[in-house]
Amino acid sequence: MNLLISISRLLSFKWQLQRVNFLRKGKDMRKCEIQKKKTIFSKLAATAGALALFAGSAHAQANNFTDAGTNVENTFTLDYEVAGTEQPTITNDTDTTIPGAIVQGSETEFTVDRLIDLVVTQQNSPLTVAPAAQDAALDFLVTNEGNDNQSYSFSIEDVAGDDFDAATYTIEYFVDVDGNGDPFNDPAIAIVETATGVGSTTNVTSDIAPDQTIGVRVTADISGSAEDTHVDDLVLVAQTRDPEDWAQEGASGSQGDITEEDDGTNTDTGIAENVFADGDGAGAEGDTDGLHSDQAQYLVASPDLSASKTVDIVATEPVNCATDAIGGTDQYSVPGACVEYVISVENTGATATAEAIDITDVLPAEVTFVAASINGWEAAPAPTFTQPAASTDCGAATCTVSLSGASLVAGGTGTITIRALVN
Amino acid sequence: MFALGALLSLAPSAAADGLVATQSVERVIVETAEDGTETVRFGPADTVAPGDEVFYNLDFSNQSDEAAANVQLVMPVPSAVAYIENSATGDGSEIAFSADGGKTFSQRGQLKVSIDGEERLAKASQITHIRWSFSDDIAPGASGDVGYLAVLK
Repeated sequence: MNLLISISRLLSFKWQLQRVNFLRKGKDMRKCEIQKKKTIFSKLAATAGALALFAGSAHAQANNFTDAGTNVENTFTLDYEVAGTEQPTITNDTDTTIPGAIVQGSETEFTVDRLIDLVVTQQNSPLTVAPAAQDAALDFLVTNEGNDNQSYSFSIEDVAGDDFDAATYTIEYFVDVDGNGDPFNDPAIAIVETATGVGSTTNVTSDIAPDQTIGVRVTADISGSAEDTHVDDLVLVAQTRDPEDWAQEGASGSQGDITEEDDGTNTDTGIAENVFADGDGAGAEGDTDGLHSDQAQYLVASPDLSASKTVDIVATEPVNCATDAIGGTDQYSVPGACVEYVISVENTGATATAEAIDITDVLPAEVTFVAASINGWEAAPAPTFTQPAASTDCGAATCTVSLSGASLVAGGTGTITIRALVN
Repeated sequence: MFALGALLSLAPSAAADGLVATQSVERVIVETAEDGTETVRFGPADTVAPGDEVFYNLDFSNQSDEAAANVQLVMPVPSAVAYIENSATGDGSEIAFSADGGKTFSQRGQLKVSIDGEERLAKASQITHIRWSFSDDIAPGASGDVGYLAVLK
């Protein structure tokens, strides 16, 4: 007698069970071999949801910093008397004429320099993915925390010790054009990954203003052979680049070049000089180097089904095959004996619920169907269970017991129990 | 207005060589040693970025042979910086503050601003001018200095 169990998934993934041999006597808990074609995946609550735009960032408030290149001037006035007579005011203000004043020197001034600061924060890590998932997207926010326009380039750093690395990663960035606070609902702009420290005028973002936050998305395809609980860790690194135009000083003249720190020894006034103020991110970069980064993870979750089928002799001479308890060991499979088949499916995955499980069992021609029941499956969504009419002779007609659309949580076991009489 | 000023400017008298004042600005540099102790010093304001502190200093000296009386020095607080509370210094002077562009001055504790018709104590960031008043005469040859700290916004 041969048994074929097929478990199929709504969206075309299939499990195939090899044929199971079973004994007529006693219990044989031989597990079936399962040929995994693809896996069944349950969507876990992946909340993109309403982005809390600055969640997790150390610099949560808009900074309203003074623009780089601003010239800050100051003056003074000095009034006094000699022998009761008011003297001319002394001032260093050369711009505004104070009547009768004596001008000594000129305004005190300094130029506001360019603070280079940026923060990268992951938004949706760990991202749960199924094996063979396509375009799995890890999202990051990158904020210009300085006081002048900047461009950015991006690179992806591998994290050693994880279970797998996707074959390729694609990067895109998003500018919040519609101003709703969520860059990711705006059009994606493709950008090519540029290794840290490599000069490039082409693989950089457009000019990003002070306080502006852009979205950066890393997408990858997950291998079909990725295993349940395996992770791919990666770090997204952002490097500061000269923009096309400074806010106050016109064209930067070196758009796309790696922004470098100036040594500040030359001028008090004049053009703004670059000062690094960034912190140390999750990756290899450090603080005050124009780079920042954060780490994110793809987490594979797949259910793992194993199925088995057992047969027991309930009674050589049953009273009521549908309800009799299974008898002792000296029961024989002879015409008229009552037998019980139990198909048992266990989800041995760590977290993922298996969905859309279909099981079809065709009883051998040598029995007459008595009754069948199911147990252990998730109540919702409710599966469909069909069975032949009671007392159907499986030699005369095909006896098919089938369960479809069933779900099984991680660690759960579902069963189909079938009673039949040997013809 | 400016033309009127030109008409009124007189030939400098002897007292015009009297007081001489020089203003300067320096950047506050804080160095943290290995053991965490911080050393504060002043350096040139050549690299000043938002968040840095600057010190405005005004040196004055009496280079005439007559005493200067009722000396009053006024320094604005530029709009790009914010006054740092309790940092105004000037030995021998009374210090007063203005939040209305230099029209009126008060003691720090009495400096008020009007918001929506309500009078409130002015915040440090609302101070627009600082005035140092010397009640004692500045003798011939004597000198002094005043100053204050501000943070670049």
